[in-house]
Amino acid sequence: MKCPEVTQLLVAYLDNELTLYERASVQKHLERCEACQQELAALAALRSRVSRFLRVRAAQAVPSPQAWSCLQEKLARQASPLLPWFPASLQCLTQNIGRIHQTLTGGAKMMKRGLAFTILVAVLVALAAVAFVPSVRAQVGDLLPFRWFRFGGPGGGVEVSVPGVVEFTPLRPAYLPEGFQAMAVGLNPEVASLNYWNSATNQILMIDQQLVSTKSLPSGTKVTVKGEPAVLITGLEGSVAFVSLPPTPAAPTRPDQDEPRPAQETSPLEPVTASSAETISYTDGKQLIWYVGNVRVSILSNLPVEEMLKVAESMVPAEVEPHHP
Amino acid sequence: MGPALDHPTGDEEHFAAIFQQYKNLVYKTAYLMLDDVGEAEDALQEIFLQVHKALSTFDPEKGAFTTWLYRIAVNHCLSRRRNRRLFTVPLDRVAPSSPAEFPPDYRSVEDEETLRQALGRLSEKLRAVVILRYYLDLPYAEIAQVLDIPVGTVKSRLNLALRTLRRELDSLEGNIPTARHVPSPREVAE
Repeated sequence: MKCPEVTQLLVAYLDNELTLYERASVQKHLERCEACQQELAALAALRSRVSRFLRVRAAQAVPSPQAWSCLQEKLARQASPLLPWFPASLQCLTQNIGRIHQTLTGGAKMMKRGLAFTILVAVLVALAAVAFVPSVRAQVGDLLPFRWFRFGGPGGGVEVSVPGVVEFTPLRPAYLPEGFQAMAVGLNPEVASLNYWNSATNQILMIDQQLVSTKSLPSGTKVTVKGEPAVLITGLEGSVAFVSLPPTPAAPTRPDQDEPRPAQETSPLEPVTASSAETISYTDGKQLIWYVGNVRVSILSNLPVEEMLKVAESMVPAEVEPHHP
Repeated sequence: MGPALDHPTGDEEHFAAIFQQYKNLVYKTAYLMLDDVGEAEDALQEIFLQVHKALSTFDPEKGAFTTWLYRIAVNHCLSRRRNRRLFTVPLDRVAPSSPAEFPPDYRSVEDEETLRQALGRLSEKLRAVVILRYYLDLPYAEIAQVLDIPVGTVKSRLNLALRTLRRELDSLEGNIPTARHVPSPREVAE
């Protein structure tokens, strides 16, 4: 065996996972190759270091004492759904809305854009069908009202409805810095993701909210948001991809409303196709993290800190009260 | 206890016993995979919800229970990392001292912190095999079952993982000053 072949087998050799033939061949080579011997020693040292680190780190990790009771509550909720016959496919849809992010800056394998577009469009179409197809809406809405959430954005805003049980009320920023041109919304019963960007200034504003069972703040610069402890982390770099959606036409009637609202006030999600995608790279990213009740709120942005704090301080519940004519 | 558990059946008692027996192992694995206390807590819940749902489908003739459990746990963690993939600092950073003592441009000399950063730069696939092998001590064949990949792929991923770690450590521990929290581009897994 030659060095290139042997070096590919050294880790498995150390792990005692080679075949008898491979092991004998590697040993024979090591007897006469000092370079591979040194390589083996270096890998052995690293392997030990990694193993020791993982064990020490794992030893520090202990689940919350409330883990079992939390699990019991979730199992109980699953066992007694509000809408037993609620189509499983629709339940899955409400639990699988997500967003598309790229996090790697060069050289890494990521989800392909075409697949990402397809998934996003499919989810949007399905959500719109749930929200606006009259037959579906009638079946679901009669027994289980939709909760509507309004998120500010260009053209007056976007209203998103989520059928079924929603575990928390997402927040939206009442203040947005000037020039943010588009947004994307991801919503499911436990996660809300609001993404804004300004393609002219290459600035992003990504607001994540997640229902959690345990609260913990990371290390970073301690700040406050609305009097609550928060942490600011700076010096982040990465990239994100946004799917750009074309403007939506006037809203159709909501279940509790006789006439549609003017287009400039509401533009609920309708089946749309992605018109373009933007990838924005940043090197001066900051992340602001705090808790609102049991919801972990995170703002990732390359805006100045003052603007981020202003956005954070402006967060208000996004839910729209049912309209009574 | 909720309606489903008001009158524990054998199945529910069995599940409760499984949870108590494996919760620490699952939590620690999730914690190492996700490097975040909050995420690990949520993952623990979600993993055992899946276990509860799929418990009746476990077939002991197809493999060990722990292999089946690890597969659910690791796949969930991989999915979580993929879905929430942002190049940001992990949320539960276990700093050796208070944040105020570390200026933004400090260079880490802590052995554990450096290795933690290097591990954090591995892709999900490489991180998974490292944890399955060097924390859970699983043989390659079992790792292959857990991840549903060939043994040869396990071998090549571990080889790539250790070499990538060595390169990252050389970069982090060398004389190249790095700003805190700035990750490097991730390695292509394969």
